[in-house]
Amino acid sequence: VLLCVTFALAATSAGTDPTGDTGVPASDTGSTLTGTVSTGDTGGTTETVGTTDTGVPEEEEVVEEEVVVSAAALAGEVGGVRCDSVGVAPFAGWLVLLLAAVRRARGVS
Amino acid sequence: MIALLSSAFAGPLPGEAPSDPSGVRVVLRGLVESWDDPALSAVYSSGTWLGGLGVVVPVWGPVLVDVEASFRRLESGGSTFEIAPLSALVEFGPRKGTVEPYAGLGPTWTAFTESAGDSSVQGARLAAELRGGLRVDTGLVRPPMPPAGDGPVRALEIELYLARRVSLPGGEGFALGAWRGSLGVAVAF
Repeated sequence: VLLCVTFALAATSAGTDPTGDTGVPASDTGSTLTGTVSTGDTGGTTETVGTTDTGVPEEEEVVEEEVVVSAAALAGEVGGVRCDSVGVAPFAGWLVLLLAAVRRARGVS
Repeated sequence: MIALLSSAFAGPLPGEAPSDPSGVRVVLRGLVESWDDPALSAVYSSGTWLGGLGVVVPVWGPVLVDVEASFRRLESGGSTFEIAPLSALVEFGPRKGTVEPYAGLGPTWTAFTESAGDSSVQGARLAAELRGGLRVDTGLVRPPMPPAGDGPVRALEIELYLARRVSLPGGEGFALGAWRGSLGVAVAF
């Protein structure tokens, strides 16, 4: 009976050892992942399409435009006649003198 | 120039009547203007010289009317700027011997045109001008001795003036105020 019990205990401890069983699947999973990554690397060789992009700038034409600088644009000048108040007074005085000279020439007192 | 000025200040010869420039005078003027406008200074120049023609008419005693027209065309980088100042000043110029100092005040009409590319801007400003100057008889034209009659030219003068074209600052557009200087030759008829 003692032998039977001893064998029974020994069999039970060997069959329920989880440490040894879980180690094998872990290593298998790692090899699968490594193979998937290497497959993706082959796709990188198709990137030679990008080399055709360098041909596009060679076909573009650079157009140089002549820049004309305008003083009127810088000053905000829109044209037309403008009378400074400082100029109106002597202009009016001059007209008065002119009218007076005309009246004197005509003999109008 | 030195010979002209020295002959002017020398006056008439003894026993000879002085020349009489009291008639209408036509003055050929070389003008220099220094502009106030920063845009004109940036694109063209801060000033320029102009060719001008003036007519001075005696009105009453020492009072004269001086009408002047001048013109200048400038080009820079495909842009063209033309300016034509016109002035009509009343002057007071009491004559002392061969020298006539004078001061004047009057309105100015400054027309301008700028062409830049396909665009063109035209305009004018009415402003005032204050002027002070000097006319000196050269004495090169002597009055005829009787019984000879008067010739068409009564005197030849050298004229010099400094002026200020006053334009109020501020507002949009060109500020056409300027300092002006002129050296001219006047022929009196």
